[in-house]
Amino acid sequence: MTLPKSTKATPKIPTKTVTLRLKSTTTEIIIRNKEYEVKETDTVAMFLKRIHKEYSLKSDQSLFMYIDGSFSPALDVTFETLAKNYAVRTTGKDIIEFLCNLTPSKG
Amino acid sequence: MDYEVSRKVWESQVPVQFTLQAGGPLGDPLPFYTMLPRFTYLALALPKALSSFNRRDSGDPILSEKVWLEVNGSPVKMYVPIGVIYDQANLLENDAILEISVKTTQPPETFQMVDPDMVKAMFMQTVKEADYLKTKSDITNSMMVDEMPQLWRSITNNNFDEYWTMVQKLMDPKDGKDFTHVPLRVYVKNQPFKQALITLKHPNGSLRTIGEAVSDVLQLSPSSEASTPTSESSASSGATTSSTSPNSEERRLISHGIDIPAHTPLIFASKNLSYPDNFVHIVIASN
Repeated sequence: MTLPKSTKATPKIPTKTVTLRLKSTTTEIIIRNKEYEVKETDTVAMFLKRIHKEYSLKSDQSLFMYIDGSFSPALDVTFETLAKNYAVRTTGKDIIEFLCNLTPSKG
Repeated sequence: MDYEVSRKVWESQVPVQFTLQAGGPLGDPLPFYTMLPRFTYLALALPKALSSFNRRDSGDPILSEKVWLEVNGSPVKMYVPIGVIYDQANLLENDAILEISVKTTQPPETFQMVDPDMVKAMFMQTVKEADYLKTKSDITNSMMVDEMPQLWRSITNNNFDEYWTMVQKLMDPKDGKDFTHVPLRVYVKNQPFKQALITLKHPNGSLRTIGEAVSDVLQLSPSSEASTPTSESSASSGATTSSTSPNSEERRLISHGIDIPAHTPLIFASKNLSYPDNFVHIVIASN
C-alpha cells in the first residue's frame, strides 16, 4: 500500500475565517455576492476598502454597514470580535449579517 | 449614577503636544501645546493645532486632509477618545505629555483620516452599539430626534450639565431593568481591542467585578493569549512586536489614567467610568 503524495511541501496553519452575509438597503449598489469569507483578523475598515474596490465606488461614496439594523460597527473592530458578539447561528456556522447602505459623504 | 464621580471623570484632562514635521524650507513651526479633555477626539482637536501652525507667514497652509498623525511611531486612531490614546501610550511619569507628530508625507494604509463630521457619526454609532448591548436599543429607539445630537454637542462644547442630563437617560433606564450586557472594550498592547458579551451578574446572582469581566473578555478572545500580531497590528508596528497579555495577577486595569481596583463592581464602572460613548475603556498594563 502506498501513501498518496502530499502536494504541499510545508504544512500551512489555516487562517480562521468568518462568513459575512450582506443585504443592500439602497438602489445605488446591487450586491452581487451575498456572502463573503473574511479572515477573522481582518477589520471592518479593511473589508470596506475591499468592497469600495470591488464595486468601483467613488471616494466620496461612503458605505455604511449595520448589524441587526441597529448600529454600524467600529472601523477597527476585527471580525473575530464581531462574530463573538453579534454572529447569528442559523445554519450551524457563525454568520454575521450586515445591512449595507450607501450614503454620499458630507465632508 | 454618582454625580461627583461622573463630574470628576468629565473634568479630567491630558497635556498634549502637536509637532509639525513638514520639512519646509524655513524649518517647522514651534510645537502646539494644549490641555485636552479625556473624552474628546483628535479629529476635533486637530483644526486648532493646524491653525496654530498656519499662523506663520511663510509657506502654504497645512490642510487637515493632507496630514496624518503618529504617536510613538505608529499611526493614531482619530476616532478613539484621547484619554484612551493617552493611557495606551503607557506614559510612565505622572503628567507626562502625549506627543503627537503631524506629518505631511504619504499616510500609511493603516491611518484613517477622520473629520469632525465623521467622528460625530462614529460616536453616534458607538453610543447605539452600547445601547444595543445594554437594552437591545430600547433607549436609543425611544429617544427624540434631537437628543442624540445633544449628547454630541455636550462634547464639542465641553458642557457637563448638558452631558449629565443626557447620560442619565442612557445609563438609568426608566423601567429599572438591569443591563443585558455591559459595553466594555479592553486594549492589550499591539492588538485590536477586545470585546465580548459580559453580563452584570454571575449565574448565582452575585455582582461581577471589573477584574472578572476583563478576564472573561480576554479568555473569550483566544488570540489575545497568543503572541501572534494580527495583520493590522503587524502592518502598523513592523511585524516584530510580541503582544502577550499579562496574567490576571500582574495585570493592571487603567482607565481615565488611574488604576481601577479589580474588585470594582462592573455595574459601578459601567455607570460612572464609561466614556461619553457609553463604553468602559480599559487599557491593560503590567506591574
